[in-house]
Amino acid sequence: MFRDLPYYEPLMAEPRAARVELTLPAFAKQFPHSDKPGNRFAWQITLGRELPIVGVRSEKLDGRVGKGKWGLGLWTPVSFHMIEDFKDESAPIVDTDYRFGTMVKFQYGIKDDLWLGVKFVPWAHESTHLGDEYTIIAQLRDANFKRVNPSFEYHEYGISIEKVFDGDRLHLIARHGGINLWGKDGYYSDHLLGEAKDAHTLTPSEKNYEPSFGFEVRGRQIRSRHPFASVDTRHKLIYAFDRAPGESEQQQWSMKFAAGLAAPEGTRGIPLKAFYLHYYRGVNPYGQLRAQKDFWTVGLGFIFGV
Amino acid sequence: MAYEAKFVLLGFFSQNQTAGTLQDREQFGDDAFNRFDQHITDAARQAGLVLSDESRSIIAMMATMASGASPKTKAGQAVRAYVEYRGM
Repeated sequence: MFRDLPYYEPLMAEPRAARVELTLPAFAKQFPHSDKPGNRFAWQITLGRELPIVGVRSEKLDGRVGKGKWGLGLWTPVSFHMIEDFKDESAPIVDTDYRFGTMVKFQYGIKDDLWLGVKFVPWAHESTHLGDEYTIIAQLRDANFKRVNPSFEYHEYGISIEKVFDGDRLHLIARHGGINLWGKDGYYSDHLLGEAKDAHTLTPSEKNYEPSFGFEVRGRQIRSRHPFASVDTRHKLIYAFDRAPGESEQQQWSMKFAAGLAAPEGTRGIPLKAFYLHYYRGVNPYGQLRAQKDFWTVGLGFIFGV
Repeated sequence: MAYEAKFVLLGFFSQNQTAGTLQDREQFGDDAFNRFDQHITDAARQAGLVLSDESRSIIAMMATMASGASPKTKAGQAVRAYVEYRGM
């Protein structure tokens, strides 16, 4: 009960995994309703954790399972994310999101150094909140601005293959996953807050399946850390709140790339697990700003753990 | 061969902060043996060492606490630490 087990750990490049992650310094493309034009200093923080609930396994050892062994566990991932713009007046919080859900993770040892991982999230919730200062600026700049309420329940799957070569001199991870929504109301409400529920001001999203692919390579340990490069790419929906009924939505492959140094798996007593340079390009991933395509961020990321 | 019970207790306690039952510890010791022993003897052979049963038991329990993804890495770290300890 309540034990940490290293099954299907998030890739370093996974956007907003349930962990503690700071991105600072960081820069971003101008947001859709920013007052001052141009790129900007915009830092981010994620506070979260995959809370272990219960696990069963075919052996007594903690850590990865051995050859022919298996492990299965139930987790509750909980996370909060915030991005702040330092260019506009009052340094507005651009967006805050939170997520929680349930998650089952499984690992099977095909060989001593080859593992199959599976993740299944039967239910999770994401709620997003545009910052109040950002909203005020947006309303002042654009009389037609609408404050939308993206909030949705989803299920998720993932499959992972991990292979270690020659005693951790090279560690490769390849993954595929996908998110799909529960219900038919899409990523956001079809009416604005305060409106009648049958107002139907917005056109609900329809392309609600978001497939993803990930790949990570970790190199030989040098002193207390090993270098890594990690990429996560997702076919994200570009929100189109005001499209005509029947009009097709667009999606864009959105990629986060991370390269840096990380503590070896299972390292104890070093809270800073990894630091890296990150680059993201694709659909703006923050709340209702997912209506913006070709968005980018770049910065220095720090991942903390126990 | 089974690892010596007093060292298995150390490894089990380090992981679980409890002594567990005899059956728990025996399975823990068997799992550690299956996971690490071959890698320990291989790493020791490469270092020109012949390990006693007691040394293998100690190193195997150290391997359960070592960082790394593969058992070969964990066993290698434990053997290196033991070699340094013995001044070999």
